[in-house]
Amino acid sequence: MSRQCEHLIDYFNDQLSDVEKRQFEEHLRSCHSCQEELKELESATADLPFISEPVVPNEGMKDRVLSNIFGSEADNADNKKQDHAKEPAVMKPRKKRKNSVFVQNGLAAALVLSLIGNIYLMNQSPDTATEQELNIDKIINTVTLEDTEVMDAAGRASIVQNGDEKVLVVQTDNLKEIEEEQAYQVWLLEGEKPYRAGTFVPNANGEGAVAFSLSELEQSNVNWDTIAITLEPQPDNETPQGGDIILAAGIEG
Amino acid sequence: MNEQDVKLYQSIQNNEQTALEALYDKYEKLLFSFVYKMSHNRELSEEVVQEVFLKIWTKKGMYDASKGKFSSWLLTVTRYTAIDFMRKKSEIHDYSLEERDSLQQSEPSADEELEWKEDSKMIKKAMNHLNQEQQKVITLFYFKAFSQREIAEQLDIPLGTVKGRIRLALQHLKKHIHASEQKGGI
Ligand SMILES: [Zn+2]
Repeated sequence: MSRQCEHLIDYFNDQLSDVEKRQFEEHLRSCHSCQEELKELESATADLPFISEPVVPNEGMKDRVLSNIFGSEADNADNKKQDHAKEPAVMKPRKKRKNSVFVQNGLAAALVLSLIGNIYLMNQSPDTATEQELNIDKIINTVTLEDTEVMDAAGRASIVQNGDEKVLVVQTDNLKEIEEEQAYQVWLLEGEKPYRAGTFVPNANGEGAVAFSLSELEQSNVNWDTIAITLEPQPDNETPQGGDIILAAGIEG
Repeated sequence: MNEQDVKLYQSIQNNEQTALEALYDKYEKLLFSFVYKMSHNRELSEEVVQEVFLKIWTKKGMYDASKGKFSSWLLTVTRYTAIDFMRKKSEIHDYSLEERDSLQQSEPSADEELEWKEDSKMIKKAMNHLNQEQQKVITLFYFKAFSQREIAEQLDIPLGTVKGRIRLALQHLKKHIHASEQKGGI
């Protein structure tokens, strides 16, 4: 018995800090009694979820969930088709739109404004060994996207560690319906340089989502610090084509 | 049962949306109810279920036979996703009255009995053999995923005895499950 053995319960419940967790995993490799007890906990609890009293899921849940999932997938396929679109370009507001204060005032102003407010970062949480074994994604960073005055949308962006790969996951709701050719586009900005980070079309409920691999941007040493979502006239623009910024936030990879 | 799940999972590897939908249909209610039991929050429960299926869809190859039975794996993934989301929502860890009451409803209603598969009845029944405190230990430990310290505080027992209580409660549960299995049911 070492002092480390006392961490077993907190380890199983994913309640250790990163450092504690690493130390415990180190210990676990050589401590047979912890290995045994962990196995015992896993098997003794395996059937417990079935005790849960049946609860009718939320109304419309299936449609929301599946359209969010398949929506993000369609977007990934979209990105693959448009490899050329990865070329960064200077992001400039192009056309003035009647209903957009932000485009008139320039992109920088829009972003500054959008960053005011309650952006909060959530600390990454330690995952457990079980999670590691299962290779579960770990959220590194989450920000709430701030709406601009273009529309009253809401959203959240997370950077998720998935093995060696980082993935940007964006979820939005309350988006306005769009016209045939239009699409919402996610951008990561390094200063004023935009990088495409996924395209999506909202479902009937105004919800949309994107999952975007950050590997390539990382390999090119892009240091983005801001995420922005625009409404673009076409889904395949290489640079924002006068799209109004709908949502934005500061974010660190 | 597991074979069917594994088949669906393999189709999901080939991007078959209908397979993900079938898997979703099969597990939606169980996963939702499980997360709801943990969090008492419908919104969070939906988010967690979505996250779990999003992972399955976007991140291929997460599951393989070495991880054991598919459903057990799925429930483990769901539990850790829920723990993660619950922490982020900074849910107040409070062993509420509501929870205490719900533990006392020992007999499942006729409706509920039909809901989950057969052996769930056995587990519920076994759970009813445990005394209130043992039930509470299991709830705090497994469903609320409290830290050792929080469990000690809730039960008003020394920190060093928490693990022992958990193991004892789980062993009792196992014994009763085992006993009813031997009797060939309930
Ligand atoms: Zn040990």
